[in-house]
Amino acid sequence: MQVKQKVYELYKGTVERVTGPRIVSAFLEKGVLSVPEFILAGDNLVSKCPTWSWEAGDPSKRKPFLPPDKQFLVTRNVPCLRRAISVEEEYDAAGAEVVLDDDEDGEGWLATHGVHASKTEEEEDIPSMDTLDIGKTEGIKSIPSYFSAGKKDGEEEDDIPDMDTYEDSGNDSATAQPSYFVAEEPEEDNILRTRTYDVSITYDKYYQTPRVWLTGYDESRMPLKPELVFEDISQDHARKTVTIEDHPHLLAGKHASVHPCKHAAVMKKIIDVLMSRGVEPEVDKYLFIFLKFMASVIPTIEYDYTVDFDLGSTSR
Amino acid sequence: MEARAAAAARPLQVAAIGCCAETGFWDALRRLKLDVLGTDDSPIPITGYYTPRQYEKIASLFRICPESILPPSANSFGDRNNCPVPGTLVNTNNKRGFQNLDRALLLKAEAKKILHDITSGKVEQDPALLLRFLVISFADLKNWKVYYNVAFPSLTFDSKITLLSLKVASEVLSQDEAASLSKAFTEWRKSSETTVVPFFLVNIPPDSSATIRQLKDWKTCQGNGQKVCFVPCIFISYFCWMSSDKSFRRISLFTNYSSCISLIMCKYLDVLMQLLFGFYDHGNRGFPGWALRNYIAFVSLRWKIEKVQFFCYREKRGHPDVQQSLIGEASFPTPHGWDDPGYVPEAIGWEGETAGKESKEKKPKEIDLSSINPASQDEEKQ
Repeated sequence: MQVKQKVYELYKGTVERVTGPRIVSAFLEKGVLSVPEFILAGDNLVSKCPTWSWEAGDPSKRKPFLPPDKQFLVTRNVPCLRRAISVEEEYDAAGAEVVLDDDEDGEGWLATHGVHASKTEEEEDIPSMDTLDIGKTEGIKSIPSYFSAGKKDGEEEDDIPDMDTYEDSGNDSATAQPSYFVAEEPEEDNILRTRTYDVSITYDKYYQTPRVWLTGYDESRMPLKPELVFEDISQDHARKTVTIEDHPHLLAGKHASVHPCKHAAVMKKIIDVLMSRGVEPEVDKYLFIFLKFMASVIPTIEYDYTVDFDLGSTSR
Repeated sequence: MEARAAAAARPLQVAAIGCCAETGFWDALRRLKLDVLGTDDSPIPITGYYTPRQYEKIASLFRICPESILPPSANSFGDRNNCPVPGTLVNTNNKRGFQNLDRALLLKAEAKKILHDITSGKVEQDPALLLRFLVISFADLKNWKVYYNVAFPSLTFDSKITLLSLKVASEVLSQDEAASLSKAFTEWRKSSETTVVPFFLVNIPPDSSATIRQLKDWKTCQGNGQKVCFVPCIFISYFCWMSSDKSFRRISLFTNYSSCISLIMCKYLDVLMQLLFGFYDHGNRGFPGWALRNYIAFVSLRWKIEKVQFFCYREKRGHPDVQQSLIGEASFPTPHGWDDPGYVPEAIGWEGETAGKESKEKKPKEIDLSSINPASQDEEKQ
């Protein structure tokens, strides 16, 4: 396995070296991105979703075809409150089906339950991207236990404005311990400890698409073993399309990555769906569509890809 | 007992900061140690990265990453999601050396630097100095392990900070004020010059067009900056505002003298509230972030303000969040002795240390670097 991967990487690296980066747009025809389009789409993502930023990465790993300060995109400390694996189990238990009407050739890449999950969880977090509902939205069913978990979190957050509830504990601690110090847990249930992820997007020159990388941290903010990252990946994709590799712009550590071999095909499919609905997606929105698609692979990692505008120009 | 008597007043409690030390940072330290430092274990200046809370569910983390291995002066990395903060790294050569470090003394030394930066006025030029941090470590390179602890030194004095009020910003501000403040913050966060500045002045004048200024503009905000001028300034600005025609007409409607006075008193309080000491708050939920303590100490010691109105700035997915940003007031009677040149302030701030427990045998955090060991990469193990 390891050897095979190494040989493959060597091959891919060689091809990348001898072929020039894509310059001509083939976004609508093939679902791929040229280098200038990647930068354009990245700039747009950073401006609309400021939790994302461009970064330079390690200078020794700099890709000459990208600007030095815009090598890859990253968003950090993204909450991941639940394991994808448990969400799926509950989803299946609830009898919901994974439906994808548009995916007639049975490619099965776009399992819709991930998209559903993120929708049911936090309605305010994901403003409507109605134009982008690839699956049948009628298929969405509520996941009872998922709802209740969300509600619990909601209740905790609702406590915030009500400062009076903390008053007693404040008084107690004034006598019991130094008053200035709130340790990690003033009250155990007041602090939410959760896994977090650094999510980065690099440009894959070979496949001419963006590529997502995940660096996980456990509840006590220590690096998460890559094997454990698989718990946060939709089981249709874990260990198949998600691999553990070196990051193209960082020196240290192994990172999980969603392999980009089918990205262009899926993006092309989404673009076709949009076009058939009379929406011609603009290339600077590529990453919003792409991240929405990625949410089906990593449904519980709550990175931001909020859009409150049209995805493209409506031609009809 | 006293706290109970004074209704809402209570000791200020703040939320501790959590540090996320990336594997890449330790890898960078490993290289530095092998290539440059050798057995030299003297403290080295490094950079940490701070950010206001971004997701409503969780607090943001203080970050040390590969870029951190350089001091801020030699480090160009920084953006809206990474406000550079100066720190100190003490990396020992062996485990015993690590265990024998005098943590309390090291912390005090950093606190002394913070106090010096406050009194010398350096903080006005570079407010991130208030967030100074300390890392102690033992990089066990033979076994690909690192043991470390992180501290965020916070000054403590013989007088305590009392919290007088604390509310979410949307409860305190009118809709217009909230909207104009959000606009001002969006601009502040867009500018590459100001977005990395975690402490600032928030001005919400009665005409509702809020502005955010740098700490170094304090004097221009406040005339000659003396405390004695603070109140007269407010009166002047109030009367200036009153004579602006729109408001003047409103005032002239009052024929009853006494109600006019009460309006003035009421507006006077409003005006008092208009200048807030704002900072990027890393926390979520109902406690102000750790940074507030040193900030209040700074405002009190440097500008002699004993009652501080503060603004805890938080974001929701990268945009200003008035629903969860906090506005509060704290009082801090001037402590004694701090202006003595030989004075060494007390400090708290070791990460994970719970209050009241004087445990010197603090457990270090342990990080496994075997994933970056080239020798182990070919083996399919663990």
